[in-house]
Amino acid sequence: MNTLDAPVYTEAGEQSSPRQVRLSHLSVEVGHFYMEDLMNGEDRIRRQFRRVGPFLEAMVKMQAAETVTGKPRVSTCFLIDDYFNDKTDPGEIIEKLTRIAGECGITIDYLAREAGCADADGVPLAEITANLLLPEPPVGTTGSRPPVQESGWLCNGEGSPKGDSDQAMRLDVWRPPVEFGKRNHSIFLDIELWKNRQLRFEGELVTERQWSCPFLASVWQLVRLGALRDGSGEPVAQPQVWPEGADWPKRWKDLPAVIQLNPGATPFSAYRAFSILPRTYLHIEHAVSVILSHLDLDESVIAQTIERARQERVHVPVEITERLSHGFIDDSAEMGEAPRADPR
Amino acid sequence: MLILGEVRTALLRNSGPLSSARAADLLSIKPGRPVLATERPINRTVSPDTLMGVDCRLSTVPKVKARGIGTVAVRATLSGGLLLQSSAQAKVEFAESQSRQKWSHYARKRGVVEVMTKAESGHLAEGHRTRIDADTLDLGAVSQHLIGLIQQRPQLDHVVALRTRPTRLRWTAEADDTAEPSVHLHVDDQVLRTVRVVVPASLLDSAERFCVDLALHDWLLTTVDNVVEQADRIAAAGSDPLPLLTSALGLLVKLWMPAAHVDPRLRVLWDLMEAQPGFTRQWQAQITWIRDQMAVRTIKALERLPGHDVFH
Repeated sequence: MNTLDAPVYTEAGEQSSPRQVRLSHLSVEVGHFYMEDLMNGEDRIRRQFRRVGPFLEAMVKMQAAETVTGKPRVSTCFLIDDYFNDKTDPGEIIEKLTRIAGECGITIDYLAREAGCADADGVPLAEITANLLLPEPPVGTTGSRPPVQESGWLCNGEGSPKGDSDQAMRLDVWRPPVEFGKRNHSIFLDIELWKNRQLRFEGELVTERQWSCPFLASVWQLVRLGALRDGSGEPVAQPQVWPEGADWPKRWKDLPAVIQLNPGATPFSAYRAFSILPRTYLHIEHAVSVILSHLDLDESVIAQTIERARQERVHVPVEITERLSHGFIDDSAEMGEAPRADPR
Repeated sequence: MLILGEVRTALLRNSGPLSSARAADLLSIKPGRPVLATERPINRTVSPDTLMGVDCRLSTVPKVKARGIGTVAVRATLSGGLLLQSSAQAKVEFAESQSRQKWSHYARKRGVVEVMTKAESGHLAEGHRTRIDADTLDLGAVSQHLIGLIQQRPQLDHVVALRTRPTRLRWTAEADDTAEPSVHLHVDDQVLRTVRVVVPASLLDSAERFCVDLALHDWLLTTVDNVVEQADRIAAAGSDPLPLLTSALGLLVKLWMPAAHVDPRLRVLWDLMEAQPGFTRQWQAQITWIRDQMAVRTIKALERLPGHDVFH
């Protein structure tokens, strides 16, 4: 509400207060596969879920111990990689996934689609998130040059300057990249957020933006934390219940961005998010953390979440990256080859 | 406490005023962030804020070392569907630490630049108003970038309804609870104005709206002065200035609405502007002159018609 016009005259357009989303204490992501892994056999899926199971159990126990009321709300979720490969049958994949997870003691409450992180039921989430990017300025940034947001790259420091080939040959010209806010030494990361590609659509060349995996994963974490809203303050990618027994569509894109599989589940979004992932995703999550710490998020949403948590006597950090944690599991075949011979 | 800012004001590159719906579409530069609008007394549409990170020297008078790190906020405003403004501002806070913090520290404080310096806020304010160097904070460029971006948007037909000149208004707002609120406008040249505002700390955040409003009315005055000059030149060359005068009146008169969107507690600043130099008095004098010219020319045109003797 704009207090200026309040005494005599107000208009809807001047008011904006984000709508709340329901929140669990903790959202646990129970593993991840590339689409190819889901297409070929069951061993790999079973192997991963068997390692995820005990982790999930531990997280539920930990959350119970930390919840003052003793009633922890923990929901589980799983992200389907249908953005880079959607040529599979949803019914077949979902049946296989939920069955094997169930055999390993894991209930998948919510199933989300990675393509839904680009466009969630008509809301361009990736574009909205890209517009929140607030790159860190190198020393000497006066505002006289516009930020290079069009490049599609984000880094956590200042890159090594590139001389021409003659200069590059000379060692004394080279200067190392520097991580902003480094601690003694730099870990410099340059992340490709998207690339534009030319496609032929109905005979005409059109430019399509392909979002990168770390960028969509960042959107995914924001959705799990209930931190995104559309232009009118409405929540985005809200879970939709898929009627029990109803047939699955033949195409992934005919499914909602987030599907509620377990009708009795606690809310999808949560104060904190924990991801149990194969260790091969470590670099992606590093990139996610850099992306998330360079976003100009809606302050009122952040304040609202913190206030609600406070009323429940839960502490939620202001910084979004501090609400995320990870457990990385070994995904190699050797470790799981003979599980039954395990002395336990 | 201190805010530094710069406003650019220009006529929208469109053949006519935009409806409020089209104005909102034009200023939707950040999907996911709302565009704000009021309809009365005239339509005023405001884009969401865009932030930009900076880390550079700040200008001070007298010259003292000052380094500012943080974010600059910039937003666009469209008034009456036709008058486009972009306003960049940085609230200056004195840094607690003498080294650069991690980015999230600055990113959370929207539109705040933390400064490491021995200079006082008055020195920083004067520096911003009077001396911008190549390596100091350049709010004008930030503002210019946004207005340029919007003028190029495909929603516009890029035809100008009236030939006008954009203006720049560089301003500082200082908080002082002991002094009476004051405003001083200095016309540097045909394009640049500098404004010094002093208000109580509780009203500091409303200073930007006042300065944007002041920039709008200063632009109107400047533009109408130019129209009068142009009309004189056209008439001296033996042509008819009537079309110019008609379109200027049609477009500009309804935009004159001093302090309509300014915090009522800051209207005292407008009262000061009305007393000296007498903004509305000047405006009305010019508009009356234009109307007189139009009336005289209309009569003369009628006289030239066959059977004009109705007037004799």
